[in-house]
Amino acid sequence: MLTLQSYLSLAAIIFSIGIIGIVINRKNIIIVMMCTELLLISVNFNFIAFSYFNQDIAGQIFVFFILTVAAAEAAIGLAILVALYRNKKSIDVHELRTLRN
Amino acid sequence: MNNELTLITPELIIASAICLLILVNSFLTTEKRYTGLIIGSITMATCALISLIFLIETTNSSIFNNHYKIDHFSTGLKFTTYLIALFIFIGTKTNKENTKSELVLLEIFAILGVSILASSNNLLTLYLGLETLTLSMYGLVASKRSSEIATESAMKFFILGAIASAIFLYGVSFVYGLHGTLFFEELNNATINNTIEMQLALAFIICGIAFKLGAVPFHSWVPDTYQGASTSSALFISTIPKLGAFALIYRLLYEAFIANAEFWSLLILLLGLLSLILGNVIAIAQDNLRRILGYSAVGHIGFILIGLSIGSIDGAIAALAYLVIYILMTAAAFMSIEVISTEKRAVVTLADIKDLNSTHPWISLIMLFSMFSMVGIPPFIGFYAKWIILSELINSDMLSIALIGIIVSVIAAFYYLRIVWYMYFEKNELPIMKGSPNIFQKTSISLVGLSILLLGIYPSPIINFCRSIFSPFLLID
Repeated sequence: MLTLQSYLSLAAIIFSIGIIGIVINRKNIIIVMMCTELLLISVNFNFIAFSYFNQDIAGQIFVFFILTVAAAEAAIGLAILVALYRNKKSIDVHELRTLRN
Repeated sequence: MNNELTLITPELIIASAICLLILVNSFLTTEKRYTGLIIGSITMATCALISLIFLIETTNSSIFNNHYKIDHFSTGLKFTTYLIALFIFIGTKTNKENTKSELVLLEIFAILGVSILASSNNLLTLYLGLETLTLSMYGLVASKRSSEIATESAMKFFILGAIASAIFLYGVSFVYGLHGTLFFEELNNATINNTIEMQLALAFIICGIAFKLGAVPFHSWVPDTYQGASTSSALFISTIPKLGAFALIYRLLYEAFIANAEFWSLLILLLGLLSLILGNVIAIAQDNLRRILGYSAVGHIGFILIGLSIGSIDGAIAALAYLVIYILMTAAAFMSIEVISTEKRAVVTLADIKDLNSTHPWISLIMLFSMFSMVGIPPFIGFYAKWIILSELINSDMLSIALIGIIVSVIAAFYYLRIVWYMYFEKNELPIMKGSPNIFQKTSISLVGLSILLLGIYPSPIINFCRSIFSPFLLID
């Protein structure tokens, strides 16, 4: 029997993987986007676990909305990525350095 | 049921305007120069009128099974938003290169997000409003598709925004788990509010809020987007979303988590001090006019956060008054930049506004009003804004914080006055800026510019308005 704690730990691990992936990633913007999706997935995990253990449906409804918003967000992100690639001919994180103090 | 739909008339009108604009954009491909502007302005004027009526009639009710709340705060904030948006539309969208209807569409979407945020009574509604606002802001920044810096700043903004909203949601998920509910009233009544888990969740949530406001550890998108986005988008981003972020703070911290006030006011104070100091100090080293305005925005947000950290309704009133005044000042500055830019050459660095006085005396006078006001020189409204925050701080025995605020304002005077110096006393070697404002832009910019001066002499309308927004709570206290 899995407890609430194990679900939360899994979510925390996924969340950390997402954050670490963004921080140490030195190559490619698409990987950054994948990591932001991981962050949202860990949040979904939390909501579903809490919803089940609290016997309250609101958390699962919230997850539907997060999934929808995440899809919209990914669409906008990829659109910006395409526009960026057209201008720079590269999606390297290191190339994002035109704007400096 | 019928009554519920009447109460959300402004949102319904905005939503129908969005549908109309999408249709217009797909059918009128060639001759659509002013359609976006006309539809947007009419929508905003109507909505402002309706919310003014609601504000006078003092409707107070929760609708849609308590998910959505129409009260003084929400209608007052919506009224302010629509009015400012109307001025922005008339002031910038009559320009030749800004008439693309897509921009108006995205901006109206963002305004819908602010309305939902202001009325939210539930974490789910709040999140949806927040994302409506943020997603359309990504689009606005990226709207100058062929520009390298615009797309780069949009990409950075997008990545940071996605991380921030995920962190915010992680906090929200813990709040939900601990309380078992998403409604603000029930979050407030629970006794678990001061546990360590709750404080952790609140810290996550405040990270998200700080990003939306552009407070210091999460501020790097502010100067980037101000520099990268087109001037009219930058004007929009620097004004309306700040009102949305204020609604976010008020609804979450003052309504849902007021029991934790001791904990969050400390965090907000820390963020505010950091933004105040770093924003103003970094701005000194900038040569790019838009980056200066970006860092100055961070500094002003610091002041607003310090006002909010007092944790009382008086502090919130002062912070809202400061925010409205800041929006007036920054709108005047960005509108000035907008009207003197031409399609070929936009104002970017300080060198571009050298000797502006000889070609555009009226515009440079308005810019001067705006800069003097941001410094806080007495006859202008900015002085009054700083004064109410500082007097609230002194009233609540935070004298040292008030002193830091005063010292930083004096340091900040350097770069604001440098802009004025460049406009009036520097010789110009570059070709002069040729932009010529049309009659709508002139009216709009003059109204905003003169209000900086006139409200500074007679400031009671603004503070009375902000007080009346919070008045039901004053009665409870």
